[in-house]
Amino acid sequence: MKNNYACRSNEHDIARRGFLGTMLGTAGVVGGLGAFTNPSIASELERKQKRVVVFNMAGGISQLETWDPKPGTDTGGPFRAIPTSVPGVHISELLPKTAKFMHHLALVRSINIKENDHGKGRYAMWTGRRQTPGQEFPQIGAVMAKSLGADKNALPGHIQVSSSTGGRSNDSAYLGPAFASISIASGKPPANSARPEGMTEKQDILRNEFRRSADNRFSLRRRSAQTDAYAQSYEQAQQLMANRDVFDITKESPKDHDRYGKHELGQHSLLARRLLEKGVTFVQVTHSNYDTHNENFNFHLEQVGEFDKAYSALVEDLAVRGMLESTLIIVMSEFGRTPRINQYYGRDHWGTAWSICLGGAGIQPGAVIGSTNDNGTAVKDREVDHGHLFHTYLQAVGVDSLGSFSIGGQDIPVADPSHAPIEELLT
Amino acid sequence: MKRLIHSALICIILSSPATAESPLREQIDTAVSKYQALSNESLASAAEFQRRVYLDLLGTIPSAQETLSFLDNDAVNKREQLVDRIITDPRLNHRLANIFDVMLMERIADGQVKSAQWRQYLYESFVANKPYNVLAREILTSNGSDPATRPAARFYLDRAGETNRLTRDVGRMFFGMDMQCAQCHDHPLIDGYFQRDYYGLFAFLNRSHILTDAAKKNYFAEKSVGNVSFKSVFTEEAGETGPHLPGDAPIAEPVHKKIDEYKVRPRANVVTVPTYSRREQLAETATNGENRAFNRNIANRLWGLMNGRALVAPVDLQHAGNPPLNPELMSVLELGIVQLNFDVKAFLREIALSKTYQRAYQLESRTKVTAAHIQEKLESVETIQNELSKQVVAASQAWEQQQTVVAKLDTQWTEIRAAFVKADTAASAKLDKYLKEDGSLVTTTNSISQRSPKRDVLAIAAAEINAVLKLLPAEKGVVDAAAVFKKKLDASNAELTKLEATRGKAEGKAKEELAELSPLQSALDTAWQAWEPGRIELQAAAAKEQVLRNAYEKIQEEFYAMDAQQLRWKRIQSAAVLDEQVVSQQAQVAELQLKIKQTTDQINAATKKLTELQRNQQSAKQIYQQATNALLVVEKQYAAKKEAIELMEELLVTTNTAIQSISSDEDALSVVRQLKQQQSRLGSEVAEADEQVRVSQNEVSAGASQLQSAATAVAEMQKMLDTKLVALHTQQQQLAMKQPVLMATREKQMEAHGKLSSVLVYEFVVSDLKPLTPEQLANTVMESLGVTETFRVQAEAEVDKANLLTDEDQQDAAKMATRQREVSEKVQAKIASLENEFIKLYAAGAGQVQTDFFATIDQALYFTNGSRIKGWVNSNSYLSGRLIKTESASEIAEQLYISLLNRRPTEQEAKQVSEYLTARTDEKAETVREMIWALLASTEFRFNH
Repeated sequence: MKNNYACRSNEHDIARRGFLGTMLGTAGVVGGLGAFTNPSIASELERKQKRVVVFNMAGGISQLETWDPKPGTDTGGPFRAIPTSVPGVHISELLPKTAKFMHHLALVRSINIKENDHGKGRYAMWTGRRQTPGQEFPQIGAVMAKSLGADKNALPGHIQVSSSTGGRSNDSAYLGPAFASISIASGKPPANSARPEGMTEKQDILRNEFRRSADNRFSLRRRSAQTDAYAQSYEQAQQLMANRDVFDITKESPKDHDRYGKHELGQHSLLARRLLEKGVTFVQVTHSNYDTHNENFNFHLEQVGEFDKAYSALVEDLAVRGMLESTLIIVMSEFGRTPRINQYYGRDHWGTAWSICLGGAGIQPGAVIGSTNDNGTAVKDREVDHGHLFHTYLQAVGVDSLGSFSIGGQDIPVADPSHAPIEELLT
Repeated sequence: MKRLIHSALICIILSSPATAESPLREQIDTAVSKYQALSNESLASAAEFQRRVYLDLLGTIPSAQETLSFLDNDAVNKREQLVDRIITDPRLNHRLANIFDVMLMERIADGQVKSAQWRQYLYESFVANKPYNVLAREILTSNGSDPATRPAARFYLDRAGETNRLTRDVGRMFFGMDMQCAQCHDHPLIDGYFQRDYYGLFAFLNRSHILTDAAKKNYFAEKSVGNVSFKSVFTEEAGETGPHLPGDAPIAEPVHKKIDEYKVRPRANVVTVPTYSRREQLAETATNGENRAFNRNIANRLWGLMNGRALVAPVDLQHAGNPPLNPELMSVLELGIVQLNFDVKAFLREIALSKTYQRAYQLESRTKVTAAHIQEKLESVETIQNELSKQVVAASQAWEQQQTVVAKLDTQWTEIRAAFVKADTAASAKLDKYLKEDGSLVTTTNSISQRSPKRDVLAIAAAEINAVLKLLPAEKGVVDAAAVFKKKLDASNAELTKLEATRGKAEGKAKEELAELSPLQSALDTAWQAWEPGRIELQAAAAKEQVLRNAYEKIQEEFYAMDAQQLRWKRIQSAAVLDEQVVSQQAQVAELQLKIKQTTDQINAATKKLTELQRNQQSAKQIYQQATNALLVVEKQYAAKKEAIELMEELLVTTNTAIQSISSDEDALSVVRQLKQQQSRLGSEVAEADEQVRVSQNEVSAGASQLQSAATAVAEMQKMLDTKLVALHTQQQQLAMKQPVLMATREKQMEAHGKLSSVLVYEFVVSDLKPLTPEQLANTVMESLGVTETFRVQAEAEVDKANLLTDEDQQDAAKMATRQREVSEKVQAKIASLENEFIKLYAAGAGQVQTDFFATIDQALYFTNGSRIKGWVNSNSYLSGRLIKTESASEIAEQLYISLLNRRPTEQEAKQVSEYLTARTDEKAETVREMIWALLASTEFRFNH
């Protein structure tokens, strides 16, 4: 069995030649040390204020009931297609509110990831690479947090809004736990962010002063990036404690609660807006569960309605507040659903021809990339997969997706080097 | 002459360290000092050493009591005593089990083997002081069927037995080489990682696979067949390889008759064992002490464990382009661990006793160095390097030539080898078929032997009931029973007949296959006879090539090491140059400042003088004015007198004229006389006045000249002052220019020194800062607060309850050691779940490199607000309880620092503690707890230094 590891690229060839060239050029006096650094990542400064929000439509949302309807065909199901604010572009009638904001958004309708398994599909879509044994790649949130310098902020840079209890996940692979996601249960600030009972603010200030003076004395004897980072983490903790209400959506107006919806997705989306506004780099909200092997249509009718309400409100707010230019919005799943309707009125796993919706920072508003055939059973033109999409997300927020991370002495390409971004989707 | 010295140096560098007689610790220090551009004679203080060695070897800090008794111990060799005590401390076994667990498994989730069993296996291995090569051998060979070594199979089983994943991790963990990128092509960035090396390692593992038995238990079974070929995705070049380790030539594998290839043949639910096992071969070749990569890997990792920065870092990226910090030290350690028979504890003991390990951590403790001194060093190295680069080229050419020889031979023998491979494949396929039939023969035979006793019992029962039936033919119960038995017997017989038939068929087929194997085996024998000389020849050529390649890589490594060293020395040099610049610029600035001060003083003095002179001028002016005024007065007086005398003379003339006309009238004469007298008096008065005018005139002219000179003096002084002011301005301008230059240089100096700290670590001048592992942090927090002490007391009570040692027993070292071990095991059991709490927050993700430091907000929040830390800090059963009851502030300061940081507080620190306490006397408990927390959260606590 052959594995497609990180390194199956021609980039390597070039880098190798470059390395040899340097060696020859200096008559063999240049050492191996220089070969391990890659400055191309570090120099991009303007991406700093960029943010990303991902809607994870867990289980696999149906492209036919959302972004690529095929009404009146054998696969189309009962719902109609409706026009949107972009002339000529139609989406499912289940998304009437979103349709009004289509001019801010774009669609990719020609995705074929060649995976029909939840785990593998999710891995591919979230890491931009196919799952391989012996190698773990960081997920999109970790890559964004790292590339956009989120570790300098007082607030965590990689947040998953979830209904679970919270804590740090293991989704940052070699980028390290500093970029792993922190789960925020809706409306609940991160664990241990409240001052312990019985301790006054003054006492907390005083003990931290004592700590600082001890650190200062130590730093006169010895200091390193690590000791600084450690001391800094306590200052970040203090800042987070001071900003605790960032996580408190009760501070948002009742009107907004109504607009986003009082269901979980609405509340989570409202929290996402709050977090993005406060400068959090990456936020993911999850809408569960679209794995509709049974009763696909009833389920989508209800579930997509919730999504339409929350999502359109967020798109509108980001646009109105001038945040859309700097915020990338992605709506994706591990895969789509089969055009074929099974005997239980369900649709099954389908990675062969499906769609995502995205918009905001760096994305061509109103663009529609690729298409499927008449009844949606195959990609007709501009076939792309998770690799192309991953490059595109990164480029959209100004990250050089062709660059590398320098990890433990090895250069690891930020995105799968055998792929490239979808240029026509980028502004 | 100079040239000669350098050549001699080269010889020293290239020859392996010869002083095998001296203890390893001394060899370490010798190798280190030989390549230092600057040395640091100052060792860590006793307190620092104690904390460091405890953390490194026991994974925790000493208790307050242990700390004090060590600090107050006056023995000259107390450090050695301490190390010896620690080496036999049972906690070392827990620590080593933890280190090897994390190193080999990287905290991946439990799969087939529970991690607790695996850790217990490691722990027991270290209790028994199992040599590392034996441990590695067990891990590499265990297939999970022997209960004693089943936990060792976790390495394979919990990686799902996936060959590529295992190739990568065996390469990383046991040989220090992450060759993953050489899987699909020669490594693009690393010269020494070839695709054929990757597949050489792969070939040891590709015959092994997960076998799941009926109870869903997994084993890592091995087959006797499976060859490896590969193709580069870049160059399309293809190759085949037998198993070989990094640095070794392909192995000449034994050839067995096909039929003899298995010790345990494959069949359902059976863990096969081949006669020749590649995994056994892997273990043997790796662990016999002769594979350099294997030896180096463990030596390097253990060095890193003690010293922070491993000699080769990352530890899984060993290749010539990533040389050790000090190649000679690396050789010393590689050989050292082999000479110590892979005794990990003995090896760690030697490191702990080296001076290099005991370096101070403070940056300012380093020796100052001049730029010129480094320059000298640099120049000497450059010459060596030029020489080396020539050798690199020569070695590379020699290797290339041999590669050509090998390639030519390879081509020569291609057909004959292909014929052999073909024959082998055919025979193997036949063997497989035979084994399949043979397997089913055995299975059916087993089934028959299981079922026939049952049938026999049934037959006896049926016969008996038939006998009864003959007697009682009309009894319904008996008739029915007989029918049931007959039915059962018939079924059993039918089944057996069927089985017999299957067996017969299998037997027949097996015989057939075996018969067919025989000509194939003969063909294979013939093919082998043809190929064997070729294989021998190729083997020899390849072995020679490997020797040349190793030689090339060794020189290349030295070359690169020297490169890196030069780079470090240049860093030190540029810092030294900047140091010197700062000193000279500071001197210049100081000189200017002095000049400015002098000029300013002069200006001040001159200004004062000028004021004085101006005052003089003023008074001279006054004097002159007064003199002038006086002159006017006397001149007026003179003029008046003069007028009077003139009038008198006129009167006299008139009077004389009158007398002459009136003749000598007495009265008239007396008047004339009187007038004359008056005239004469007036005359003298005029003369007097005249004199006064003259005097006054003199005074005026004196005043004038004084005024003149005073004015000149003022003008001169003014001029001088102006000059000084100009000078001052110039000087100030100069200073204004120099100061920013100095500031800039200082900034550069700071930057250079910032970079220098890692250089100084790499040069073994100062020790590395080592962030505590999650387990170390948990243990250190608990030990410092007294939590562990409570566990220890409980554990001792439990052990004593089970088996109280008599006074006599307590004299028995072995019994005492056992007790100590039991106590430590119980304490560890109590600590384990608490450790997990820290692991969740402070450990890298499962399957990721576990040694990289990171500090996250959630960790800081846990420490700042979490209930666990708060509970421990606030509990009166622990440290704070004791301190709150302590009266004296200095005693509190001492206990605080001894308990948490294992050192006494400095005066300043003790003062701070006292001030903190007295600021809020009504909140003593709070202040004590706050200070405990602050020191727990300090960088000094977090980093092993």
